[in-house]
Amino acid sequence: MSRRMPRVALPLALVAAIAGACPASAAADELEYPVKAEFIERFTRFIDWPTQVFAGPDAPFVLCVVGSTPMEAHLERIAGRRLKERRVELRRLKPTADAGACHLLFVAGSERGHIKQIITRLSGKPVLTVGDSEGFAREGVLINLILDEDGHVRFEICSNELRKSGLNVSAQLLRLARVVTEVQP
Amino acid sequence: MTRRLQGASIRRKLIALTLTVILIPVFCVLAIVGEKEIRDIQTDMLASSALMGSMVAEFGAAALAFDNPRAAEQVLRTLGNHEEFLDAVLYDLAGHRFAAYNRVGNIGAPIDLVPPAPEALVTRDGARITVVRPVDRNGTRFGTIVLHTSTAPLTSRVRAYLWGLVWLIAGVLAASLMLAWALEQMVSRRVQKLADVAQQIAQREDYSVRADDRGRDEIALLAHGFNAMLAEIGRRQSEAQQAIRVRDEFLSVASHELKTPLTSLKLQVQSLMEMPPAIADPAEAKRLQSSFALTERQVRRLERLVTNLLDVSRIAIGRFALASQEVDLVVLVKDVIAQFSAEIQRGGYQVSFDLPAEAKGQWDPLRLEQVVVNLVSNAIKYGDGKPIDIAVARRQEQTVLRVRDHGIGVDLPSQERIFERFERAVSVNYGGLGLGLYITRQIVTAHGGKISVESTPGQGSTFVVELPPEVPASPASPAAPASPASRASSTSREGAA
Repeated sequence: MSRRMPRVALPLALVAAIAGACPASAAADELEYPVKAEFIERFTRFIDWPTQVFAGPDAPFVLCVVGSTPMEAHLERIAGRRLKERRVELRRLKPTADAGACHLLFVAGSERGHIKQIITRLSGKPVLTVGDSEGFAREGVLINLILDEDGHVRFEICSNELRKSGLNVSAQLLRLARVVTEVQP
Repeated sequence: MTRRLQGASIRRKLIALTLTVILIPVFCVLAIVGEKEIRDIQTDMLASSALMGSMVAEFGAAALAFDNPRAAEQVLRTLGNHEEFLDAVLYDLAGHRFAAYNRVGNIGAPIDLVPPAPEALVTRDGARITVVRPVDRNGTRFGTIVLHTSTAPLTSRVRAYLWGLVWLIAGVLAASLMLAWALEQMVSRRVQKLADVAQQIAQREDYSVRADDRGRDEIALLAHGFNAMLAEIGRRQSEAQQAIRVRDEFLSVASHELKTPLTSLKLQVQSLMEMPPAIADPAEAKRLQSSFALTERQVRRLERLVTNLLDVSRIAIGRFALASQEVDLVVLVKDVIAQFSAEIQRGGYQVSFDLPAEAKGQWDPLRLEQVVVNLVSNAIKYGDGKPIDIAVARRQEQTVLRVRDHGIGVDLPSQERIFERFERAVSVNYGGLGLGLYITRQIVTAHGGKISVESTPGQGSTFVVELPPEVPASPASPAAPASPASRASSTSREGAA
C-alpha cells in the first residue's frame, strides 16, 4: 500500500480548497512546494510576534525572500492573503541586505554560502527565518522544512536561536517539530 | 395516627418525638445535599468531557495544520488516562478520518463523515456522552474532533455517594435510637416505675412501699409527694385501725360485763314476780305487780340491747357461728308475735297475716328468731300505729318473709345505710343503738339469704327477707357479707381483720 500518495494528497486537498488551484491528480513532487508554502502560512498561526515589531495597527506583515527558490511563486500566492490579520508585503532581498525589518525571512537553498552572515545579523531579533535546505536548522535558521522518509513535509526548529529571538512559539508547534540545536562555530 | 399516638405510652411518645426531631432535619439536609451533590457530579462529568474535547482541539490543531497524524494520535492517546474515555476521532476539514484512538473493545463503528459542528456540542445519550468540537486556531478551522465518554464512572461515583448516604442515615438512625433509649431511661422508665408502685398499692393496699424519689427533676418531685401522701395514708390507716380495735374491744368487754349482772337482775325480778304478794292490801299488791311487770319489761329490753352489742362484737371478731336445724318459719313468726302481744296492744296495731301452713328449712332457730324480732320490733317502733302486714311465702326454692308497716318510712339514700352498724334513718325521738338491722343482715347473709327494703317516706316500709332452704355448705362469713358493702362497712371489716 502506498502511503506516500494519500499522505501528500491530504494537504493538497487543503491547498486546493483554499487556493482553488492545482488539480488533485498532480504528481506528488509537484505538491512539495505548495505544501511548504501552506506550512509557512500556518506557522504564522502558531507563532506570535512581539507587538512592537509592527509600526501600527495598519502596518503590513513583511514577508522577505532571499535567494532564488521554486517556492517564490507559491509565496507570492501566500502574500495575496492576510497574515496575522495584516496585509502582506513581499520583499526580495539581497543576501547582504539588512533583513531586520522583515517579520518572516525565507532563506533559499541558494544562499547556503551567506547563511552564517544572515543568521548572525538576525540573531536575537524577532524575525522568523525559514529555510527548506538540508542542515539549515543547525546553522541557526529557526524553522527548516524537510521531507521525511515517506515524503511528508516536516520541519525542524532551532531551539536556542528561537529562544533568543523573542518570538512566542506555540507548544503544539514545538511538539510537531524535530528540535535541533545550532552548532556553534 | 394522632389518636394512636395519644393513646400510646410516654415511652413510645418520647421515642417517636426524638426520632422525628432528629430524623426529619437529617433527611431534609441529606436529600438537599445529596441531590445537589449528584447534580454536581453530573455537571463535573459533562464538563470533564467537554474539557477533553477542548484539549484535543487545542493540541490537535497543530497536528491537523501540519498534516501530522502520528502527533494527533499521541494527543488522543493522552485521553486514555481518563477513566471515562471511550474513543476519539479527529477529522480533517473534508470530513475524512485523520486520527483515531480508542480503549480496546470500547469503540463503536468508525464514523468517517461527521456533520459540521459550528460550535462545541456536548450531548448525553444514555450511558454515553458525545463531544463534538471544531478544531481551529486563530479563526482558521482545521477539522473536527468527535469523542465519546462513558457515564459508567459517573454512575459508580453516584452509587458510591448514595451508599455513603445510606450508611450515614443508618448511623444517624442508630445514634438517634440510642438517644431515644437514653431519654426513655431518664424519663419514662421512672414514670413507669412510679406507676407500678401506685398499681401495687392499689392492688395490695400495702401503704408501706415507697417510690424511688432520688434525683431532683419533676419525676423525683412527684415521687416525693407521692411518698409523703403514702406516709400520711399509712399513718391515718393505722390510726383508724387502732381506733376500731379499741372500739371493738370496748364493745366486747362492755357487753360481757353488762350481760352478767343483767342476767342475775332478770332472774331476781322474775323470782320476785312469782312470789306471792307480801302486802295484804290488794290495791297496793296490784300496783306492786304492775311495777314488777314494768321492771321486767325494761330488763328484757336492756337484755336485748346488750345481746345486740354482744352479737356485734362477735361479728366484729368473726366468732359468729350458726347451729342449723329444722325450723318452721310460720311457727317462729307466730311465737314472736305472741311475745310482742303486749307492745302490739299498747301501740294499738292491727297485725294481719298471710301465712302458709308451714315454711320449713334448715336454719339456726335462735338467730332466725332474732331476725323476726328485729323486723317486728322495728315495725312497731316506726309503724306510727298503722296496720302491720306479715307474710311468708315460698318462691321457688326460696322462703320469703315480708314485714310491712305503714309508718314513717325510709328515704332512698338511707335505705342502704340502715343495714350498717350504728346507723339509723332517724335518730330523734327513737331509742336504740342502731344495731338491729346490721345484725339482721349479718344473720341473713350468713344463712346465704338476702334482705332488702322498699320504702316510701311517710307511707311505710316493706322489709323482705329471702332465705335458701338450708345454710350453704360454705356459708358466707358474717365478717365478709356477700352483698356489696359500703365504704363504712369495708373500713369496719379492715378493723376486724
